[in-house]
Amino acid sequence: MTAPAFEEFVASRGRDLWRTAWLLTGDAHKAEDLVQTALMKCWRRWSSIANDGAVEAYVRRTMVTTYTDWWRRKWNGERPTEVLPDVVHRDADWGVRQDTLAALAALPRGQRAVVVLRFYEDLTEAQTAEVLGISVGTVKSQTSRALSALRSSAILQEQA
Amino acid sequence: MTEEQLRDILARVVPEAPDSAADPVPVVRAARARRRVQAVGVAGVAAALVVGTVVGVRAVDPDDDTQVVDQPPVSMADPYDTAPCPGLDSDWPNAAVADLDAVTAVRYCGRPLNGFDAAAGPADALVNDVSVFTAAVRSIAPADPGRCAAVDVMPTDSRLLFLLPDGSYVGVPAGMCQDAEVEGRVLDGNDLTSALLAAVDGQRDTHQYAAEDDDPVACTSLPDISPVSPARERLVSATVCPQEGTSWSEQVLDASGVEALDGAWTDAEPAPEESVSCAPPDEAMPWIMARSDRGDLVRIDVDDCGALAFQGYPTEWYTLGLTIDRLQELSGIGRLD
Repeated sequence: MTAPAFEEFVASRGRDLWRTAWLLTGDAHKAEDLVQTALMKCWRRWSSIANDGAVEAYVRRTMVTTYTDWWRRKWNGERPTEVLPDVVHRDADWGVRQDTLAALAALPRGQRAVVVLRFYEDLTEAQTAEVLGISVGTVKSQTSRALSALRSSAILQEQA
Repeated sequence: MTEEQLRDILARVVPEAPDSAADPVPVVRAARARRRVQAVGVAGVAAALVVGTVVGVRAVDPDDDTQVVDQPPVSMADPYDTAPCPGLDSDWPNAAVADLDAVTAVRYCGRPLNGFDAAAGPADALVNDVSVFTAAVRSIAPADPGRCAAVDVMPTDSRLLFLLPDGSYVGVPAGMCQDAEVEGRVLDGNDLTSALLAAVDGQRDTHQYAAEDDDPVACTSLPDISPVSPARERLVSATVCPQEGTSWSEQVLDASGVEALDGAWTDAEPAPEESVSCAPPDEAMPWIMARSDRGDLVRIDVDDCGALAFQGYPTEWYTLGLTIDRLQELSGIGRLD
């Protein structure tokens, strides 16, 4: 199968990347910033990425590692807040959305990434380990800790 | 809450993405703009490096040694083999450049003098599009005779070597406050060096080539004066270099360590204005000497937070998004017991 051109890839997969980035960052603007940062990194190396035949996995890995590594420094002032800033419309799920973001924001960054990859992207433990560059054992332990924390979150218990 | 319930919640709360998320134009535009900024900045590399070496020592007189050294004709195809620097113990050419249009290649050569080390230039000579460099040199303002009255510079014997069609060289001083005569005009050697680095940068952008050498770099090496760019060059070997008296040991990174370092290098970003500040560590951090696929020797420093950083264009620092501790985990490098 021929690898997509960069523009084709962004047009077809950009929205999905943004949704994952939104769960990681909890903010529409930061999600857009994260996606753009990751895509810029990939643009520079697109020909070699395309030749490897695993464009989607590479871009996703770049985005998640950008979130877990680089943005650790860029967003060093980030703290979970009671009312999370967002620009999405207040639809029927607005309250659930805010509660979910509050629960996710309480997780350490690595655990949050594991949760998003495992339970939103539906990656296996091995795939998640590969994306994050950690061992499967670490994925398991991070997942266990994250689920434990989420289960103790009263607001998520109500939603479940 | 079960795992399935968590999946349902996450799927339910994620909003629709804005249309802009599927628009590649802003991404491509931003990426190209960043690349241009990095390329434009190269002209100041030499200036920054030379300014940083100002010390209380008198400049050498470049007129002491005036000669043209004959060399056998060399191939123009390979930027690494073309116009090699003379041996350190031989006489180095030093003469006016009469006609830039006759020049077929240009190389920067560094040579220690009076006990002061001198950084080497790019491993690759300028062999393509020399006319671009020639035009840039002709636009350089003549050196101001009073420009260096108030400063003394570290003495070096570094030269720009101009290869002529018959295989002979003409060499002019390459340092700050050193007069270089080109087509009857006296220019500052540092201005010439800046023009050469910009031209080599352009050559790298437009021509694909790589150095064969991937040997580890010795910690005693100086970083090259070169237009190396994280956006373009890859790292092929690296050595962790300890500060004297610390628990770190000098260690060559294995393949996994080089891969991790290169990945972080490729993704390096200009350091944010408000970077994280950390208390000084208990002992001085090591640094890393790396080699690029173009043959550049690159120094990567470790900040107080343990993060790797690289000084690129004149004053801009890049952070690599990787800490020395993480690199230690990935590569097995360690400290002395």
